[in-house]
Amino acid sequence: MNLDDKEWIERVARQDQSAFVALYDRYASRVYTLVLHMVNDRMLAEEILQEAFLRVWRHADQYDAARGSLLVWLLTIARRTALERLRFESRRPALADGNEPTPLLESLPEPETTSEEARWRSLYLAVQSLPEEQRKVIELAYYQGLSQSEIAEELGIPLGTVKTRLRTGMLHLRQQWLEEENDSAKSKMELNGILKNRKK
Amino acid sequence: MTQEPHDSFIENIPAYVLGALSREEASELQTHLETCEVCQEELRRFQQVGDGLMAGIFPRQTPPASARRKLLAALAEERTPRKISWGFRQFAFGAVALSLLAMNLAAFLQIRDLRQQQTQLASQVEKNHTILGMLTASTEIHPISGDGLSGNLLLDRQKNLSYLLVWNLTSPPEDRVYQIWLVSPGGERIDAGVFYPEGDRPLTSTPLITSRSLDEFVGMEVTIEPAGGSDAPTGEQILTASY
Repeated sequence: MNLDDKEWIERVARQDQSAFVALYDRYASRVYTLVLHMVNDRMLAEEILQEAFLRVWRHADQYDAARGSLLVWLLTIARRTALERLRFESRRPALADGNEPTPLLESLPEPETTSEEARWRSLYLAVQSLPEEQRKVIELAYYQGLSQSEIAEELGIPLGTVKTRLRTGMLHLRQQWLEEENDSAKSKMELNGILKNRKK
Repeated sequence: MTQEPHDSFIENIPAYVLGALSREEASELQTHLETCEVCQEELRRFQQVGDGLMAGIFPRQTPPASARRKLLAALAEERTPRKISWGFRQFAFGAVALSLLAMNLAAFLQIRDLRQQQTQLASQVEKNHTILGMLTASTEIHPISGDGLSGNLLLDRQKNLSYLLVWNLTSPPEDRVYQIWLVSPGGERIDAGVFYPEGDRPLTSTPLITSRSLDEFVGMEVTIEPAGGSDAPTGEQILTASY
């Protein structure tokens, strides 16, 4: 836990607006990135961003550092807010096409950051490398809030197939995550290699 | 418990983390998790993947500056009706206060004042600790100038931290807020956050909020702006400091 984070959220819990603004400036980009990925609409993403941070303002005293990082807590609130909004509006934006060229790699931050950041980058790459049918069911569940039954209906495939794809994909991601846990430096080297190859 | 139900529960954990189980399936799994350490460990590992799926999205997107202003405006609206109840909730005062009012209004007012003073002092002491923590050999202390105002700007270039301290700052007009601007050598003003005075406490302290290096600037100023702040100074300048 970042000590600065702990100090800021405690001050927000005491209704300190300056601390709240500082918290927003530090994490708004992370929250907005997740929300925009989920709703694929900038106007709606801004509204959800605002609602999520207002919830943080109202419930900052409920944050428990023992249960996870402040960033994950913020993202969890934002994801829940976005899912409620998606449910309310029944918006189901199309998922990104896994076969499209991915210029995103070029935009990744340089590897000389924290090990946690490196693991997230590695997980991102792992998600992108999943077979599309596995990636799609994971995204429909996690970012669109669909149950396995709803995904089966949405994709027109048997429920058992959805369960298999979802579990297989998640096992792959977990394996990737555990490998990173054992050797976080490995992901930096792989990412460097990928970036280098893409520049050739 | 037989092996088969456990296997079905543990297989459902990835879908549980993704929120893809039915309400009934999730409830059954939650009950099982209360007593199964193997599944608890499995959940912990998959939960890390779930956290990574939220945090590991690239490229990072930056919300427009207008989103920040709208949020602060919404916050200002939200704060207004909460001011009355805030003290009661914060200090567990509500129920006690009602009883005291019925018994002795004068006594209630006296106790409330004492509690508020105590809490304000405690908050001020904590803030002072933060400020004192900045006071190292590398901390610069610059005086501020403003009509009837006194205070200092604390600056730590190594940590890229700055704190503004102002004595006896009164509340801004209604629907207005104080906004800090960092001043570049060329005269450009960069937003460094908005703030309000801290109740009836004599000392207001607030951090300067910027992602840029403080070395890029030569001073700061504070103006009165519409609630939520402005893109550039528009209102009356109340204090300045140069460094």
